[in-house]
Amino acid sequence: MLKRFLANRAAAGGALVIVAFVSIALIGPSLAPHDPLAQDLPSNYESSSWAHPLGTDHLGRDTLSRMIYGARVSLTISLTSVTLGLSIGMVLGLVAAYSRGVVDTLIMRGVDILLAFPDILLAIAIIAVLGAGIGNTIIAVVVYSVPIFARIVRGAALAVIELDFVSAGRALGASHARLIVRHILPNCLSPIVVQATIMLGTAILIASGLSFLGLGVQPPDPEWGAMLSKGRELLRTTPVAAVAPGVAITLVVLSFSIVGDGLRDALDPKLKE
Amino acid sequence: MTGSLGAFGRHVGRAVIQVVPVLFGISLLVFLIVHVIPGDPAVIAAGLESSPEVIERIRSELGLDLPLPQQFWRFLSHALQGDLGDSIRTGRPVAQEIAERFPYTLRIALGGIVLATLLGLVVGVTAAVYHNRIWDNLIMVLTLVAVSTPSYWLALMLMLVFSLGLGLVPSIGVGTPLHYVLPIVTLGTQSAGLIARMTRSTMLEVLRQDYVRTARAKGLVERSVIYKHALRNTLIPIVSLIGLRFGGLLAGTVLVESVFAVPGMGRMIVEAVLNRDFPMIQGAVLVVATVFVLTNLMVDLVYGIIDPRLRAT
Amino acid sequence: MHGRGDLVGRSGRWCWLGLACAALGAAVGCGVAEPPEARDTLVFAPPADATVLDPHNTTDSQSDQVILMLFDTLITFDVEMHITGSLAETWEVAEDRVTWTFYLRRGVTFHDGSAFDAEAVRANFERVLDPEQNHKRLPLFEMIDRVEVVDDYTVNIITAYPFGAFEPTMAHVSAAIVSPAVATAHGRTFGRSAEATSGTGPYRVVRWTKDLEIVLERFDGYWGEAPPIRRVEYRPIPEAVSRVIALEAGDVDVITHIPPTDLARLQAEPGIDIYKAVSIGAQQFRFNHAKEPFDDPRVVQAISYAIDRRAIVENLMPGLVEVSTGALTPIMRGYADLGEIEQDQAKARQLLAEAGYPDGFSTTISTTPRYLMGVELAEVLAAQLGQVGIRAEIDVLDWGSMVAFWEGLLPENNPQEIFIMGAGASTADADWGLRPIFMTHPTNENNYGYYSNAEFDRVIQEAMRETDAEARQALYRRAQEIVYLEDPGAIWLYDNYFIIGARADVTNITQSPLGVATFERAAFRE
Repeated sequence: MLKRFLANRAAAGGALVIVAFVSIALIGPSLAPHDPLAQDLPSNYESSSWAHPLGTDHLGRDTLSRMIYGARVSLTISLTSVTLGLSIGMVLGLVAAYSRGVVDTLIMRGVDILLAFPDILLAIAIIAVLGAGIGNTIIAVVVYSVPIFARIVRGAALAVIELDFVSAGRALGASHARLIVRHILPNCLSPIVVQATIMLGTAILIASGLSFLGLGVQPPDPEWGAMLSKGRELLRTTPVAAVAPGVAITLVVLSFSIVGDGLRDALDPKLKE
Repeated sequence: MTGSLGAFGRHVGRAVIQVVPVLFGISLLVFLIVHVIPGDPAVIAAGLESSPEVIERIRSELGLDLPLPQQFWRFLSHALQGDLGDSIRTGRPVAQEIAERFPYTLRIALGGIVLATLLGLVVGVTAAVYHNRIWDNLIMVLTLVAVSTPSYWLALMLMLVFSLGLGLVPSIGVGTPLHYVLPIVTLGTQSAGLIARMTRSTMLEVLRQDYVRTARAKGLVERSVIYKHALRNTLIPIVSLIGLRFGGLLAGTVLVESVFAVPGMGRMIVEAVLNRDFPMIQGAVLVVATVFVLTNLMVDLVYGIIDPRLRAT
Repeated sequence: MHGRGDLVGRSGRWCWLGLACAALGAAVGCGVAEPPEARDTLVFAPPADATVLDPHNTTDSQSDQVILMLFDTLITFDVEMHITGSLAETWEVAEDRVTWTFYLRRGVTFHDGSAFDAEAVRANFERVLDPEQNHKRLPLFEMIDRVEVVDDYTVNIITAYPFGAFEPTMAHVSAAIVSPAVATAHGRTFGRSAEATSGTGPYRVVRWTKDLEIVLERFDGYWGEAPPIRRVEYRPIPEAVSRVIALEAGDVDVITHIPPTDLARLQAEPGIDIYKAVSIGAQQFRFNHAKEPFDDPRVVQAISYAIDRRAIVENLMPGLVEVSTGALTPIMRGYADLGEIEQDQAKARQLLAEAGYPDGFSTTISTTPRYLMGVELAEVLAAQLGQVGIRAEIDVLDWGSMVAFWEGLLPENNPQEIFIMGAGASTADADWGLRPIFMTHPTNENNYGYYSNAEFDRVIQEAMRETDAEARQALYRRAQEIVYLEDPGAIWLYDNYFIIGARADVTNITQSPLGVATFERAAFRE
């Protein structure tokens, strides 16, 4: 399976980028040319130079160093929230699809309630009640993503359950867990993987949207979403400082998606023969 | 034939019955949220310079001194009669405030979702057909860029290029159809990216399945295989996604509305939350949620049309 | 920098009113023909919509800005904050120092056609003072004891005690006269829609769609000189970056609230004029004086000396603000120039040591993005406090959560320690600028920091009843020495300029130090 994954050159390339970003997140402090929190007011709004390749922000802080430190915060938000959201959503969706009946109705009505709730209101409410910060931003993203995952997983699972081999498995007396894990789940991975990779980027964008409204990660911690949101004011003075976090977010989403596609191909049981 | 129609009718009936508890749940949730958020609407309504007596009087006027269950009952029973109360901040009926804003949001959301659907389907199918070739790769990169670009960013970029730079469309406002171009493109682009990816991946899935292979083996023309057989079967998750996206757009997209100065639901809801305008939050959420639920009810019904097997659920 | 900005106030209602006479009112309306040019609509983009167009029941400047176009006060401020006549042609105070007599202008009508007279004045003040109607501006007029109609065009307003700030209070926008007929007809919904709004001002509301636009049209029955522009549209644009783009693209004619990152560029652009005026607005961070260690004036002084205001003003807000030089801004009555507080880290450390904190302490700065650069300011303060050993964390709150801490709370329930606060007493007078904010008060009405200083309280109360200008000034100087230097009630940061950006073909925008723009004299250049 690994061999097949690595044979996919694009996926391998994507994986490499992710490894690079994760390494940056892990060993950031030794890579950053400056202290990401060190303010230097007289040299704010600077364009790129040897000292500051990506320029400086409102407070004269080095954008490159903040990007490097921000990788840790942003990837943490993104990976943690998607892992949690996906896990919870997947369990709910599978259980709903498999059990049908009352359980399905209860779960899906709950999901409907959350989905019907304007997401921005939910996010603001969570931040207003719990306070701003990395942890609470993650909670906001999880609450946002669980119903989406649940719905998609249920939809995909329903289609699979209709297929003959599942009914056959049932008839042969396979256990519920075995049916779900071995037969249903692998066959609905495709939409899940697509949604999950997109959600990795969405998570950072939600954090950014919260920052746009002033409710993101607490300063002075650097975080890509907040930098991106604040960067819109620099768009016309120091474009490089404004664009950098956007490019980083796109790169991360891009490589996660390519890896996701590769993973799906590698895992897809139908491609085994 | 009649049996099938009857089944469809039952499907509709069941779906409608499911809407009621969802709406009740939403009312309860929004009521609870509004009361858990720190911040006193009476204080904000009175203004920071008011005396405690004034604040107390406003509190009782708003019914905020009643026990919670009683407040909830009051909100619910009034809402059922179509009375959503008056906004604390502006003093005008909430229903009127919503009625003024909803059309703008609806136009942008409709435009955005239509654009996204057309663009997303075409692009997604193209990518699937050219699977793993340069077109596919290029398209997939572009869709990801679309998906991972924050809406307010795209909005500002479009505005800089097409309003300030080329002078083709107005930058802000809602005066003429031209005013809607940029907001619709902004909203449509992101959803199009999602729909394209979903289309491509489900399409690829379907293309691998036996009946498509069989059809191909039978020598059916490629185009007909794609559109008649494959696309039809990819529609369910795509319609589901479109329903979700549309619902999301209806709640207003505060960031896009802020950038383009569109007086829509998103801005209204965020301002209401920041000012703890309880009746406004409750009313807006109830209306938006109702429309969302109805949209998805329609999606469920469309499922039934696309795939008769699902009617029986 | 004192006085007004270079392009500001070449004319304006504030000045014109002083020149106007009764004959002028009669001459206008029939004498001026419709301007022939096609361009007769000015589009103004403020950052937010008005909430209520009722002068007695609103406290936000976006509403005030529109209200000033629709309503008149008995007396008013000119651009230099001198008081001149408006609906009252002349006025005087009796020897008892509590009876103020206003001689009213004749031939003035409200937008709904009803006549303005002494009875209307009485009805207005009874409206705002009626506790049952619960208007937001009631506290401002609590010193009024009663209003007496002498004849159709003479009215006496009698205060409960000699009140030093009576004239600025009467010139305040919330003392504007609304049409009693329309106010009675609409009750609490007055000023909440186009139909329910009626004053005597140069413009009337013809349409108001929330968050989209307020459309004003010239009022043909206006008593003063007819405004050159027929139609003024208010189109709120909440996002600062798009507000600037809309101005540059020519989609709007005038904007306010320009972000610091765009100011210099706009100033250099040939098609755009930037107008600057000193204002009553100032930015501060205040303390919770009920909490240790902020109950010790030495600690608060130390914090004040730890801040490098010049660096903030010159780099973060270039061209938008000036370093504060007192507890009020220079344009306000009662202002005393006490000089900038310069950064002195050695002094700060020494004061901390004297207060028993040689190694500093930990604290939290609460802020909200509702204020321009609110979050960045907190970040700078935290960094500068860190340099003298005070470890400050930052807590960013949304507006609703922030306000929750400021009202109706007893000190022991308020966890905030250092918090952001904008100041701007809209009477432009020391009384309203100091008394509600820093005087000891049993319910801490607007004294959100629970500031309490016995000498300050005594001086402020004495000043409130002092009507002699010089004695009053001396008292307010003393009060400011206490609250600005000796026992600081805030980190005084900077005084805001009120800045307007306009297309170069728009002239004569009236820019009030109260931070509001009006267009009754504005015109398009040929």
